[in-house]
Amino acid sequence: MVQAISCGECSWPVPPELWNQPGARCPGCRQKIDITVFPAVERTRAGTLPQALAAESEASCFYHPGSRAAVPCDECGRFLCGLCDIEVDRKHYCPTCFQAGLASNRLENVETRRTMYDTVALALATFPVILISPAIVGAPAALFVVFRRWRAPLSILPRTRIRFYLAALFALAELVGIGFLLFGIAWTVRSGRQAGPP
Amino acid sequence: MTGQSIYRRLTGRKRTLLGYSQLWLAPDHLLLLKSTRFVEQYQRFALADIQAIVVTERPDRTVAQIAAAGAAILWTLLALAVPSTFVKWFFLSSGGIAIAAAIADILRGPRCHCLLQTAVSRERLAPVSRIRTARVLLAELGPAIEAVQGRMEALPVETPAPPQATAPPPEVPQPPGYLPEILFILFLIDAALVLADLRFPRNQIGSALPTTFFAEIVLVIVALVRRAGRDSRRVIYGVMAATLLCLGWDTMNLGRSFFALLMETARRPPPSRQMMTWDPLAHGEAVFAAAWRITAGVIGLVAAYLTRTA
Repeated sequence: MVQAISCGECSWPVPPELWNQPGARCPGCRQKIDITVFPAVERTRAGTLPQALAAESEASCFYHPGSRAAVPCDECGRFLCGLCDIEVDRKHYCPTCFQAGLASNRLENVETRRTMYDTVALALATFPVILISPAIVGAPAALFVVFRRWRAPLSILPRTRIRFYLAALFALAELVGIGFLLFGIAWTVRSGRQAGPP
Repeated sequence: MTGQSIYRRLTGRKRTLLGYSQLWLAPDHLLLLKSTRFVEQYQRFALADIQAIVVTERPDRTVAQIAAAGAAILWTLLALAVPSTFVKWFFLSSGGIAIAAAIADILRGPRCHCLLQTAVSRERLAPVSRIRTARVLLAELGPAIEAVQGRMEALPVETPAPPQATAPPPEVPQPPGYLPEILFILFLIDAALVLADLRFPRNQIGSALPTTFFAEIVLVIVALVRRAGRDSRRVIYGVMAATLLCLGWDTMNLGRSFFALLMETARRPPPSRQMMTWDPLAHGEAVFAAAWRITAGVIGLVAAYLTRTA
C-alpha cells in the first residue's frame, strides 16, 4: 500500500499523478508543488518476528526462552532472538547494552543530543564581562568548565576546540585583570594609610 | 575531529531567536541539527527510509516586499529633513540596514515549505525555506537517496489515489480579521490629532501626522490587498477605497507644507532656524482632514459592528 503524500502548505493529499512532476500545483491550495518520490514509498518494512524453538537442544533467547536465538550481543554475548536484537552500525546489541551505551555516550550514531561545553565555557568567560563585576565569578567558572570538560565529546559534526582555547584565554586575562585591580586598590589604600593625615 | 567527521554540510544555518537548524548528509543518513548554541539535538533519517521530499512554494509576497523596500527608502530619506547630524546618521544607518534587508529578502527568491516523509514521520525541514535552497538540496540529496534505494522507474499507477484528493477541497470559512476596525480607530485618533494641532499649534502635535498618515496609507493598502475575496463586508472596503482619495489629498498638502518649510529653512540665516515651527496643514485643510476621518471612522466602525453582530 502506497502512503499518501500531502501538501506542505495545506496538508491536502496530492494524487500520484502529480508526483515527480515539476511545476505541478496542489489541488488544495493551488500553490506550486514539487514532490520528489523515492522507491521506499512502495515498500513496507516490518520488524522481524522471533521464531519458536524447534528442539530442546537449540539455543534460546536470553530474554525469551521460548524463542530461537538468532544472534549474540556484541557487548555481553547473550543470545538474542530477532525481537531483542538491536542493530547499530552492523553491530548487534541486547536492549540492556544498548541502553548502557546510550547512557555512556558510546553509541554516537544514535545519540539525540549533546551539550556544547565549549560554548558554555566561552559564554561564561565573555557575557559576565559586560557587567564587569560578575567576571569575578564567571572567569573561574569558565576555567572550571574548560578543565572539567576538556575531554568531553564535542558535536558529532565537524567542530574544533577553538572555543575552549578562547574561553581559557579570556578567563585567564580576566583573572589577571581582576588581580591587578585588587592589587591597585590595596596599594592605594596602603599608601594612603602610610601618608597619614595631612 | 574535523578530519574524521562523516558529515557533509547540505544547507546553511536557518537562524532563529534562540538558535539555528541545519542539514548535514552522512553516507547512509540525513541529519537534521537543531541547536540552541549550548545544546545540539539530532534527528536522523536513513536514506533507505526516505519516501518523498515535498517542496511547496509559499504565497507570493511581492507587494509586501515592495512596500517594505519603499518604507525603508522613505525612512532613509528622512535624513534629508532633519538638521541634526546625529539624527541624520541615525536615519541613514538604520534605513540603510532596512534597505539592505529588504533587497536581500527579494534577492533570496520565493519562499517554500519543505517536508521530508518517511513511513512513520513527516518532518518539516526548517533550513530549507527558499526554493533556491530546495533545488540545491534536491540536487545533492536526490542522487544520494537513489544510490541507496535505486531509481523510481514508474509511478504506482495501480494504487488508487485517495478519493478526496481529486475533488476540490471545501471552503474553510475564515472569520474576518480586525484590521479594518484598527484602521477606523486610527482614523478617529488622527482626527483628534489634527484638531488638537489646530487648537494648540504651539505644541507641535502636527509633527506626528506624517507618521500616522503613512500608517493609515499602509493599513488601507494592506487591508485592501489582504481582502482578496475572503471578506464579504463590502461597505467597509468601499469606505476604505474612498478614503484612499482623501488620504492622497492630505498627503499632497502635507508634502507641500513640508517642502515649503524646507525652502524657508534654507533661506533663513542659521541662528533663526531653530525658532521655526511647522504647521503641517492650513486651517481649511485641517478641518477637511479631521472631518473625513471622523465620518469614515464612524461609518466604518458602525458597519463593522453591524456586520459582525448580524
